[in-house]
Amino acid sequence: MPTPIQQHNRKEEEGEEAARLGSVIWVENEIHSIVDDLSLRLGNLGDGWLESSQTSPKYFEFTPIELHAITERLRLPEPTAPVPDVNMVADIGNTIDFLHRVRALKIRGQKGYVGTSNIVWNSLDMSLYFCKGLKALWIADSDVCRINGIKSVRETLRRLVVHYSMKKIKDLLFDEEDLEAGLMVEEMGTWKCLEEVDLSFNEIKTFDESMKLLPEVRILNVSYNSITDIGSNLAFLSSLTELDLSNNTITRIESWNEKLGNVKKLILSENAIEDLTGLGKLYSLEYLDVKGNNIQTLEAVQGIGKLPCLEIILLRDNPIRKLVEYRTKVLELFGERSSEVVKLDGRRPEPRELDTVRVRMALRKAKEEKEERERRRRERIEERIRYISGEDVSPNVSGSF
Amino acid sequence: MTAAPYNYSYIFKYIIIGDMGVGKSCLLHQFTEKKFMADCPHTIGVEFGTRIIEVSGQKIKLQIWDTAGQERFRAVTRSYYRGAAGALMVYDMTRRSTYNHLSSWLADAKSLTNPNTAIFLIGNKADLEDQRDVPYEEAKAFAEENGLTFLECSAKTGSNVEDAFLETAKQIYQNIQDGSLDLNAADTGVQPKQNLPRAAENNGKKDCNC
Repeated sequence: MPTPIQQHNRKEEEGEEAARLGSVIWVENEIHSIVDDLSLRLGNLGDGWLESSQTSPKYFEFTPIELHAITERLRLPEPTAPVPDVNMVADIGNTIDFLHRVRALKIRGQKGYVGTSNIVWNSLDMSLYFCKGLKALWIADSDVCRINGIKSVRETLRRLVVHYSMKKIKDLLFDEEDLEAGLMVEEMGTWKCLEEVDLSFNEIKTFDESMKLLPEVRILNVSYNSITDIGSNLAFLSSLTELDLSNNTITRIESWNEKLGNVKKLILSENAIEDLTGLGKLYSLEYLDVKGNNIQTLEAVQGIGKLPCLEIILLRDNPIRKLVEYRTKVLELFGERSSEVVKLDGRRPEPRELDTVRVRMALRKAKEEKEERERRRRERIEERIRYISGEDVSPNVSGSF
Repeated sequence: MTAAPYNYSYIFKYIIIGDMGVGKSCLLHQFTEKKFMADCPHTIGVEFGTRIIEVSGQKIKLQIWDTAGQERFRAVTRSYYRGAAGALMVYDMTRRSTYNHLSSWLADAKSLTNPNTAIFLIGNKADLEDQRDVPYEEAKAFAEENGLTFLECSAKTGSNVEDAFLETAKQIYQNIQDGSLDLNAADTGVQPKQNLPRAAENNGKKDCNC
């Protein structure tokens, strides 16, 4: 006999399944009214909206239910217009025509249930197949696993924004038809126009092999996710110049020059990084934000001093700030360049700081020169001794001392 | 899509039908994009395209449904006939079997569309003259017998493609003008557009400026 807890669990599972089924049944009944209503509206207003969106770009918003209804309606062997519609003003052609031409589309779902019903918002499949000219796609509070037919979107999209809808990047970027055909990632079509991707506020843990499909992406924002290790797939983003990984759980940076290519701007704030040595060969870097990490020592930041293009560095909210003369010590890492370009924590070095740096550098140089002279003198003495004791017959050691 | 393409007086619904592989999708692509699509995949279910044309000084938008030729999609394909103002029936002039099936396509078209639907017969792949399998005269005679307009086209070179779509539209427009096509009857496949006032744009509910 099941215990009360087991019973309770089963009830919950049954409840979930019933809710899913419930939503499916509910929507199947409403498909016609939803699509007819949309078609009528888009027939009247679609052209005007599209025209005005050309002068002032804006997103047209659909709910997952609407997109699902359109997708399902097209599968039904039924005429394009509802039956009593004499002038065919609610012909589904109006909706498809609109999808065909719309350039910016927003899909906004909702977590949980629809209203007071037991219908789950994000359990409905939808297809973007008829979106043939989409430049921008914004998905929020939905489930990207439910979005299909991205083949045509993949050809045209320039900007992609996904919030609160994604666990794995490939769930959206891979086309299910390609997967069914058993294609390798290398054989799949790439997102050939996609340049800007914002996947912030999701539950992404890794950069999977779908990165191979994004050769043109320049700006990638994956902040507020659950990334601990960036792995090696980001290297496939051969056009990437800006990467935002803030508010993740990154602890270690290892040889990122091999993993990132020519990134110029790197935002790593609010992670748990202790050491920046792994950035030491990322020579393209111009902007580095490591605010709110766990960087404690000067040794941990030493490597970035040799980055030839680095101009802006943000180290605020790290334990290293507690070091005495923190600013001048960090600035000193940049050597001669400290006076030209470097801006630390949003402030250019003050003349006083530069003086300190210069004095320290001069002192160090003098010290080094002195040590060098001392070293040479010792060498000569040792050689002389060897010569005198007959161990060496080098002709160069005839100097005097 | 450039300056003010949105002022048109009618929407005409077209369908393209015919056997698999005769080049229906390529014809549509050539007409809407003015390009030949070399490796066109088989159509699953249905494809769609639009273009605005001008007939006797009137702008008309064509909404074209390109159906799948495969037998397994027949049920879905049939559902698109209703309310079509124009039907382009396509065969491949280098493959006789596709021509032989025309009577079956025509039977569907006649029984599922309304009597005013303009049916246009297209012999595609006219660029492959040396592989011709259906003589021009034979197809011409078939068309006349069944009251169809007929042209041989090439989706590859684009020859006559424009004409096929435009001639069909002219016929439909003519039918509207002379009253034989009653816009108040059901399923004519013609959506009259009363040029809407601009105020209609402000359907605030769906706008999103982010």
